[in-house]
Amino acid sequence: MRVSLFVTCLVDQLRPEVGLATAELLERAGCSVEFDPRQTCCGQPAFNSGYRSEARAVARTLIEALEGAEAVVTPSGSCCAMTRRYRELFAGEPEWRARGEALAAKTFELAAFLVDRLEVTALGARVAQRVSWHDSCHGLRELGLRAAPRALLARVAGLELVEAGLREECCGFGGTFAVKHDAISVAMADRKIDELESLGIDVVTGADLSCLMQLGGRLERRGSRIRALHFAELIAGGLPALAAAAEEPAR
Amino acid sequence: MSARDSILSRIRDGLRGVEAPPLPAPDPVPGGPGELAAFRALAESVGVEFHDTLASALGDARSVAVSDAPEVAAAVDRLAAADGGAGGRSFFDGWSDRAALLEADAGITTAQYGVAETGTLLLIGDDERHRLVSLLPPLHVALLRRDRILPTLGAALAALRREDPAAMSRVTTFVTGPSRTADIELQLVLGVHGPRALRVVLTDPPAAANP
Amino acid sequence: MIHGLKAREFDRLSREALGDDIQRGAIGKATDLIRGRRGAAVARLPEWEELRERARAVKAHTLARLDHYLLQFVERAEAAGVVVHWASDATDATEIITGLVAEAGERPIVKAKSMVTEEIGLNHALEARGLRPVETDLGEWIQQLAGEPPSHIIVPAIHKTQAQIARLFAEQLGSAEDASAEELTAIARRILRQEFADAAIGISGVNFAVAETGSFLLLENEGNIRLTTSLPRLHLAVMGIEKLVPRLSDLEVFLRLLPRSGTGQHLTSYQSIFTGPAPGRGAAPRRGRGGGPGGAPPPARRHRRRALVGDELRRSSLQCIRCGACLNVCPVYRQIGGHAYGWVYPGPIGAVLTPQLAGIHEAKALPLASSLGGACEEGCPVKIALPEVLRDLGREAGEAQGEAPGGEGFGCGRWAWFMRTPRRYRWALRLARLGFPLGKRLGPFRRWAEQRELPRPAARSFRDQWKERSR
Repeated sequence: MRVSLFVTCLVDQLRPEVGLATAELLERAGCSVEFDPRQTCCGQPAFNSGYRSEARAVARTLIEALEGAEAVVTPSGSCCAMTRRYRELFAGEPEWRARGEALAAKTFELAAFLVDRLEVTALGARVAQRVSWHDSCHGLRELGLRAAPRALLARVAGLELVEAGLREECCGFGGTFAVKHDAISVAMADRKIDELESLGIDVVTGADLSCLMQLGGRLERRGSRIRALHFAELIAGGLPALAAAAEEPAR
Repeated sequence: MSARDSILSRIRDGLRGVEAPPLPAPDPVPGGPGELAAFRALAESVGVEFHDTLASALGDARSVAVSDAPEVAAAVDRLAAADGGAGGRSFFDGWSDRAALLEADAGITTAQYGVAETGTLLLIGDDERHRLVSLLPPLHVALLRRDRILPTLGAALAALRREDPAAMSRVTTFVTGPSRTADIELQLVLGVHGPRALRVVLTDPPAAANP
Repeated sequence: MIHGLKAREFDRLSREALGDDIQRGAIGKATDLIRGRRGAAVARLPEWEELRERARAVKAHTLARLDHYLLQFVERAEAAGVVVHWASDATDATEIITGLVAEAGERPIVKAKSMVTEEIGLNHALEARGLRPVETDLGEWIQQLAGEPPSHIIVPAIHKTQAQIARLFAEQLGSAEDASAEELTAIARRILRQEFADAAIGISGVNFAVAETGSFLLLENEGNIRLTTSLPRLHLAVMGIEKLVPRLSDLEVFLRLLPRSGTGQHLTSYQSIFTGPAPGRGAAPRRGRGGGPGGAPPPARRHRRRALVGDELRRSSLQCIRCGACLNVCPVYRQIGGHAYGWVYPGPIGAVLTPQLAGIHEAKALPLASSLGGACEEGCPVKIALPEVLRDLGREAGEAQGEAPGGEGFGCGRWAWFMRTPRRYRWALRLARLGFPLGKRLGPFRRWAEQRELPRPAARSFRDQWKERSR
């Protein structure tokens, strides 16, 4: 299957490794992966600030860049969920509304795409760590993203999934909220981190870089040993390198 | 402009050109009686006790207020006539003597209906003066005919409704368990303002009582 | 001037609240308990989602024909013997009520918990006339003793521990310092019984009003509303105009939703439905119920209410049935409690209602005091799109702040311009990278970096690396 990556602006600029890992996982699952450099952003930052016409302007860019693809895959639950809002965002513009809906219909969050669409869970990775999954608000509530990532983690050799009681609690990011009300935002992160530390885990993972930046930034400041990693990065990091795998039998 | 006119004109200005979405059709009200066992289970789940006799329901209450329902008077008469009599209890009209009512140990009323869905008693105010008798004493004993169980809250509302609103009961109280509060650290405490205990005595319809 | 409005001070109030570990502990424990109970109650009702949709639809229809149903309700209520007063704003409402109280001889007043009377500052207005309204809901009474407004819609003293309440009672009433919840409740019952016995006037709110019959309904657990509406000779019910439903049968869905959402009960202990004044005791007939529809906004904000009614999204805020469910699931409320929101309505619904009722200039920080995670919308029994309204108000707040369309610091307009073509996008990122060392010490980045590490831009973006990879 030919898959077009929507890497999201955050991954593009802050953690390109997540984009590369996404491509790698998709290739392992048998997809051929493309990237269209015309893409910028889904429009979510403007949308969340109530600036709908600005959000539309940006969304059009994404629609134009990716509407020709067979399937679009993104390593972000909230950006994927944003495409589901195009229908309502373009309520007054029938043509764009149809194009936005068409894009949304073939846009998938990475874990959901692998598990629900390709029915692939085993990627051959090995990560001997204690890992906790953070259910990001948008992925959880707007996409119902809950089982798919866990199915992937369950097939990672050596990985121990430790469920946190507060797994579905908001991390405190919330876009501008994180800076406008920074003290509250940090208190929200701390509540989760206190629990994560009590669980003795190595890694907190999830499907949204923004939440992981929030948790990771606070973990680092607290001097915690827990790392915050996108699940694509976590799993891809445990894959035997293709070349190494090929050489292995010879050893 | 009067307050009435200014409020209405503000609303109308705001709603100009607004098309109202449709009002959902009412849910069909289930016909037929509700299940007594379900009523009882739900009521018990919120602390209601069921007693076979009025004497047992009254326990050691001494000063007992009664409502003006004839069924209550009849039940009290039967109690007095039975073996052991009134057991040293005194009964008085709770609806006419408020000072005594404030000091009473128990109040006896009927309930016009029970609701199986929720274990609720319906006290319909036009049929009986039971508002204060059921509320002020620490124990409320309600007599409920076992053939007066409605299946759902919807059926209860349908039973109250009259085409002519003027014919509606002035006050109807739905009672589901005793008075309760959880305002201090969410700890359940019974009897904060109303009765601490609610006991129900199920009675037979008159025909069945005298076959 | 709105009594008690402090929403402008949100930043200070929320920071203070964050420092109060006892309060955070109490709220966390209580909201967890309610959430657990609510979850269990909802799980037992397979048709929950259908009920939410029905309730939403009933409210949306009613609000879109509010003038019609309001008139129908008033006409039927008057036919049943209720005396209806119309109040066009808070001052109007408190003046009418103080007038009625004066007419009744300025006798003792008992009050049942009512959000709309909080909204209009009724107690303050009555006290200004030398009257002493006594709150009779246990939680409200605790708050009145403490001289504080309620901090939760359903559990007014949710932020206090039992030990704090015991100390408060000890100071004010001379009871034991270590009294249990049971003992504290018994003290309240004893004192308030006397207040009820003496009261000549009972003031309540209204939970639902039925247009077709002119009836109204009140829900409670304690029995204080039943006492407030039965012992005193005059019952004043204060009702917001948005409380209407068209038909008596419409109450069913709300009776099924509200208790489960509020406390996780399948039904609260008591519901009272009134249609006209209650039958009088003895020879002295009871006076009609007064009280106005229109627990309305303060005078300066009339146009806001109109905007609230006229705009579909904003109108949906009026669907609220005051169950408090959005507070219990809100991760922000959990941290800062109710008082930080600076007015009557805390939590997500407060962040939605306060800017609309009091004016955006009075509450610019509130719409942004949400991480927009959507737990509130998911928990709302009448499906108010709370994050959607917050986003909309957030923009209004930004513009009120004097932001050019685009927003302070963030600059949505400028941002969108850059994001519109890949070329501009690359420029913007190049600029951002250059500016990063400076940005760390400025504006939004500084506030991020005060307590968190700031993510560093990657040395090479994904798109640059991809170009190479594909080669």
